[in-house]
Amino acid sequence: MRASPPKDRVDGMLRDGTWVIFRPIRPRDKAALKRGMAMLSPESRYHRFFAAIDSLSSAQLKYFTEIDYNDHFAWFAVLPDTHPPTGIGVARYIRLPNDPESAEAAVTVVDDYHRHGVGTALLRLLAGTAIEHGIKRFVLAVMGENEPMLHLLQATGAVVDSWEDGIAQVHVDLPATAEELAKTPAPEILRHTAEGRLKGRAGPRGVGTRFTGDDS
Amino acid sequence: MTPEGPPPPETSLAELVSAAAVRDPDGVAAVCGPQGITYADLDRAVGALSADLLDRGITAGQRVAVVAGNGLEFLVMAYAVLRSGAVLVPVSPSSPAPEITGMLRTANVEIVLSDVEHEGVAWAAATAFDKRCGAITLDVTAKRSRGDRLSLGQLTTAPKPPPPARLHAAAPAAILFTSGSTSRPKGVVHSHASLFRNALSVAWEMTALTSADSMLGTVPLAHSFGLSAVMNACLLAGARIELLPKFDSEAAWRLIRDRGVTVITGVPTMYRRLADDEHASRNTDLRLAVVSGAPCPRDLARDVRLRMGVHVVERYGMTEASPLTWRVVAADSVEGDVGWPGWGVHIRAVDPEGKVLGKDKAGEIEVEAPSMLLRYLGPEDNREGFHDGWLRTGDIGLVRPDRGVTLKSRLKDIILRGGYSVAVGEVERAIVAHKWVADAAVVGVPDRELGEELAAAVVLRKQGRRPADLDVVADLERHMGDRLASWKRPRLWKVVDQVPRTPLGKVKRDELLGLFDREE
Repeated sequence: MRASPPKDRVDGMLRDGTWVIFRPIRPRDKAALKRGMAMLSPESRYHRFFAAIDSLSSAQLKYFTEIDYNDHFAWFAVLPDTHPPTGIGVARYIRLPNDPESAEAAVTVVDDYHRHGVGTALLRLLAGTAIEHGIKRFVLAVMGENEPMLHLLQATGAVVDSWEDGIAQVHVDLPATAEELAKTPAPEILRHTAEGRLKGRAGPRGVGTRFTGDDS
Repeated sequence: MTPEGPPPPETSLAELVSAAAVRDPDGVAAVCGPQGITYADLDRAVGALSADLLDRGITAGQRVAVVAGNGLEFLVMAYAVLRSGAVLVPVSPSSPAPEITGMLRTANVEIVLSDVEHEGVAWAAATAFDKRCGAITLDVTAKRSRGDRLSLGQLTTAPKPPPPARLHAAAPAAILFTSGSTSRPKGVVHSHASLFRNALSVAWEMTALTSADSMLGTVPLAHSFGLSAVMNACLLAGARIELLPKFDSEAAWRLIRDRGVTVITGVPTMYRRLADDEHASRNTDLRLAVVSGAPCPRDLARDVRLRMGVHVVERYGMTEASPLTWRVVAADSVEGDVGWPGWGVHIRAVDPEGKVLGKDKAGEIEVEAPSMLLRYLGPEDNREGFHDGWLRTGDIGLVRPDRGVTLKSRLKDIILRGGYSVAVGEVERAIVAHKWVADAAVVGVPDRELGEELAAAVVLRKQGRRPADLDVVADLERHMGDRLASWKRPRLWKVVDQVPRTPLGKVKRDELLGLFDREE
């Protein structure tokens, strides 16, 4: 049986004023995910899948969008005001069957939205969700040439365990409670990264609003 | 997610209707011409239409447009959208089809609802926007629903509908369009909470509206002022709405006299016509006149007091946040004095560098208010519209030592014509799109009735073969009729050799105004 998607949602604004909504991915996001995949450069696709693939098969789309929100969870970053709404990033964890306190994590952001803070915000949200589901660490495989991702992970205290064939095996120990993580909540990170400022409110009221609801 | 204190309040603006139906089922919610609707019938119709929207696949957060004039249909459709959990996008039907199409696209709507009168324009705009965009018409006279044409009568006899969707109060409720200084109207996203706060402030703080009141509903419900200060405020207070789709002072006086209207909500232009009308009387049930949309001239407030026997409350607000300040206009009120801020409203003036100014120092007015928008749809508007979380109003004014606000002028080039804000840039761009026009500039000239009237100076192209007998002005007016809403079209035209401009190319509006002065 399929779990129904949680209705959590966080609003954020990029430096250029573009509105982004972060929410758990849903089964009906298949088309948006496919469009997002098409917006990835071949390089980004390679970094994500370690293979030169062009598009996701329908079985893959199903696997990535019809999830149980416990052992497999994904946050989706959506531009709600585009027609149709466009997905610009996904952060996902999948619990390791042989080590239930660890999960493999991956973050992908379409190239046009790199360096806007979207990846950081997605990773923060994912970490918060993971902690609530009893996950203690993320393990990630990152290509050595994927410098933006390595920088992002370094900033979150990631440790490189091994290098093999140009791929870094990285792990991030998560804080024990979501409260510790909440000291630097995702929308704050997003706004600060985006605005290039460390304090003060900059955008409209909705920024950082966290509530259950739907808008895309 | 992590529990953080008490659970968030879950509600919907649509509960204004369901609550009224519980409180006073047989009370009359609104009257339009010969037809009225009780709270119970309104609740049933709203519920049935919202159930229909959900059947058609509408889900929470999707956007649904309402293209309709001031009629019972507007109330039913607007609250049905809110009740379904979708986001309401009210669109003024007086806008031409291309403009409506633009709004539907900007707001990314799924379905367009309309009344019978505006079915054609709604359908055309929806189709031009997206072939998959649905269109539904609500018919107040039809006995039965047929396909996408629904009968109001049949909706009111539907079985008891499911209760309104319960959403977080900060969830988006409506996208309202404003005519700003930019070329296109800005989409303003409001939450259920911000719209509720607007209505609460109007009904309780500003007008003390009760179920004994009835309000004249003639300002467009599709705009922020009508939506909140008439529709939502009346539903909240249980006051009856006397709808008058097309303002006409004689018809308005008939409603005031025969139907016992107690409160008028309008723009200065309307009050000028009401006060000047031969049927004007002090001997009615009227108790209050609320004016907004443009500065209320002091002589107008005096005329309303003398000929209609009521005080004028002038309010200051905008689509993004409203009402902000208000006051009763007294004989000795200074021009520009818009009164004091309401509950939770914070106002400051800042200099061009963004430094907050002290009392009595003029600068751009910035506000924080419970009725403030969540955000704009346009990234540029989000970027430009806020300063440290405060909303930039674009108005120049000052906060007085008594904490009241005095407005000096508009920061941007806006003409306030009969309650509508017209951005000169948009009008100028439309004029120069004409094939024989080389340059154009628009200015607001003082007008007794409208406050300001649009006047355009045009420079014709030298080259090109123009028919000798061509009536340029008539041709320009046809051209504008295809492009802009009627209130955005200039009424005064002048063909000139050159538009007065600064070396940087900015129009010298004062000099331009002089051109039209001499002609009068």
